[in-house]
Amino acid sequence: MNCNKIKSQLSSYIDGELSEKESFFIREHLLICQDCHQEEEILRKTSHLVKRWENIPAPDSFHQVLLAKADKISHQPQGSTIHAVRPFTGPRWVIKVAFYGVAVLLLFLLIYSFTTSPQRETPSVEPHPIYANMRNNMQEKNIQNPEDLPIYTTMAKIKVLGIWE
Amino acid sequence: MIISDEELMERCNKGDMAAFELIVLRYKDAVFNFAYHFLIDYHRAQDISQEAFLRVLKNAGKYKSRDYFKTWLYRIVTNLCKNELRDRKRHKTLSLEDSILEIEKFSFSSYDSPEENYEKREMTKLVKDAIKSLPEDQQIAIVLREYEDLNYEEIALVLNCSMSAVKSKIHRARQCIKRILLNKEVFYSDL
Repeated sequence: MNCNKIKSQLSSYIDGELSEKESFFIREHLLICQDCHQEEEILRKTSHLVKRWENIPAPDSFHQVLLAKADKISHQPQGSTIHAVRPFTGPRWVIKVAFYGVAVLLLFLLIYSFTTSPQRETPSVEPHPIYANMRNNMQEKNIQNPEDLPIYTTMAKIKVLGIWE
Repeated sequence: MIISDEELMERCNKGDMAAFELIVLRYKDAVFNFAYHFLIDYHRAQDISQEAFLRVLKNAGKYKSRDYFKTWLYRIVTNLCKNELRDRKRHKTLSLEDSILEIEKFSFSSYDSPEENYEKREMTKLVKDAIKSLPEDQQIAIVLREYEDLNYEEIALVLNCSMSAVKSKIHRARQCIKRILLNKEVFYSDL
């Protein structure tokens, strides 16, 4: 093994993560190679320095606070601890198919509602009272032709004279 | 006779709070320390590690006994810490000065002389800065190795990667820390 290969395995060697055979080769190499030996020393000291950042115990209240929180969870009714509604656990394609199905259905309903919307009926216009009067007059006087009505002639006269368009 | 973690989890799933308490007692210091070394925030580390245990309780039914409990627990804490760091980056809640103050608060020991305390604080600050400068996965790998004493196989399970990936992450992390400490003129010959 060359020095580069040895150096790349030094961390694993220090951590005791190499096989017996690999460790043996490295140990032998370190005896004869000053450069690799120095690198191994520095890596060991780096690890030692990192470990000097001390571990801190969890605060005293940690245990009590946690158990109080846990107690609340354990006293919640069954099924409400994690999910109020049980999540869908089936294959994902089912969700996709359902989603696209609903989307297509909505689109179809939208198009259907536009194409089959009832024809707009023209609002029924009540005849002007003047026509109702005319009809009544015709019935009373037994007149068949509305032009024979005196009002009609008056209106025609006005129209001819250009008083009323 | 020591009850295995897996058996305790089985009891937890059946609602045995005494089993849960035993799990907390076994792992509270380890989990808290991991969160603290990763977040460098004493109070958030406490909240996150408590949240991790609550998740263990809530998800006891999902735990499969073929999984190694310790790595399952560390995976939960790791994910919570990653989320916390992402939130922190978004809101920039803890400044560098705050984290230095955190270190000063907790790296002081009444048994050491003032000089020793000063030296320890300075070294902790350097180490913390060096670890912080690493990519996230290297940071997790080195904290799990150096402070939690997990082997490479366990770290691979926590990070969900191969053993060779863990080897490379730890090696690169140590090389990077070494370069930073050498640049700061930490005298290796004195150690």
